[in-house]
Amino acid sequence: MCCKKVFLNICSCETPIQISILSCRGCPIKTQTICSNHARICFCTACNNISVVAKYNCQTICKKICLKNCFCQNFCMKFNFNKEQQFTLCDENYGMPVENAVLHFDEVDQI
Amino acid sequence: MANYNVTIIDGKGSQSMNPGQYSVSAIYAPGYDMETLSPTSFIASSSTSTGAFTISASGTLTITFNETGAAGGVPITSGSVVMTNSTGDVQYGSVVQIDSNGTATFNNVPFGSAQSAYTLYFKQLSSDENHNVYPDVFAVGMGAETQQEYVINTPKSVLQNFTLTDANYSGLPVYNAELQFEGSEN
Repeated sequence: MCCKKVFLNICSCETPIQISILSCRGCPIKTQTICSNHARICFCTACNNISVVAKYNCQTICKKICLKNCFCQNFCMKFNFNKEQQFTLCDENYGMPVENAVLHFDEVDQI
Repeated sequence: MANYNVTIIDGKGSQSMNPGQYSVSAIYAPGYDMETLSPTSFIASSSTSTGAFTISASGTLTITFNETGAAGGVPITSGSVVMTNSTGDVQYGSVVQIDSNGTATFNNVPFGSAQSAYTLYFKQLSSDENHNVYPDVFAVGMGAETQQEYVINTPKSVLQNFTLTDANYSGLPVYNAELQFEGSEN
């Protein structure tokens, strides 16, 4: 059977999240606490499919990883915990709220 | 790389965003100079936060307070006025003084077009000693970059004293009478 070894390389950061590695059928669930939105996941398994479940602030994100090779391989995953960002737009000179406008946001760098 | 268009209504908007650093520009802001948006960057973290932006306009509104509410009336000589919301409960910006010609000037106000004016609200706070303050919040539709408006300030009534005496017997006050005064305001 598969699932010889599953482990996490914990990244250094401030916000802990809990991540569970669900390996292929019949394998135990391995849970680790990691930090940040970036989790470097290392595993050594013969499975063809591994599911990753991350829970963070009541959000659950599942990602299925398909392996082509049966050897240890590093994956760096990014969990996009999108959060509602709020914006205000006011008149610079008088401070009154702007009635109607559209702001365009272009991502220039990922965190 | 992600990008978003966020609609702002009455100064507020929200958007679920990927954590990251963003450049920000205004692509629609009627009445305002979109190049004046500040700041032009925003960092979205993995938690909810608020980004505060400002934008500026280049219109000029001149309001003259006089006794007719139109061109040519006798102006008041001092007073003050301020921009407000539609109900007058919230003041925006600094109080503007009315000069000796009855004029107050608001610079950097948003403006639209004759077909789609940008509505601003004002409240007069004080007038000179001889005139009544305009009592209501008044709206101005800024339909051009430069605009002149007039607001009426009626003259205050001043108490006048009268005597009525007998024409033949000097000093004899008339016991009871009623005089009628007809005339026109100055």
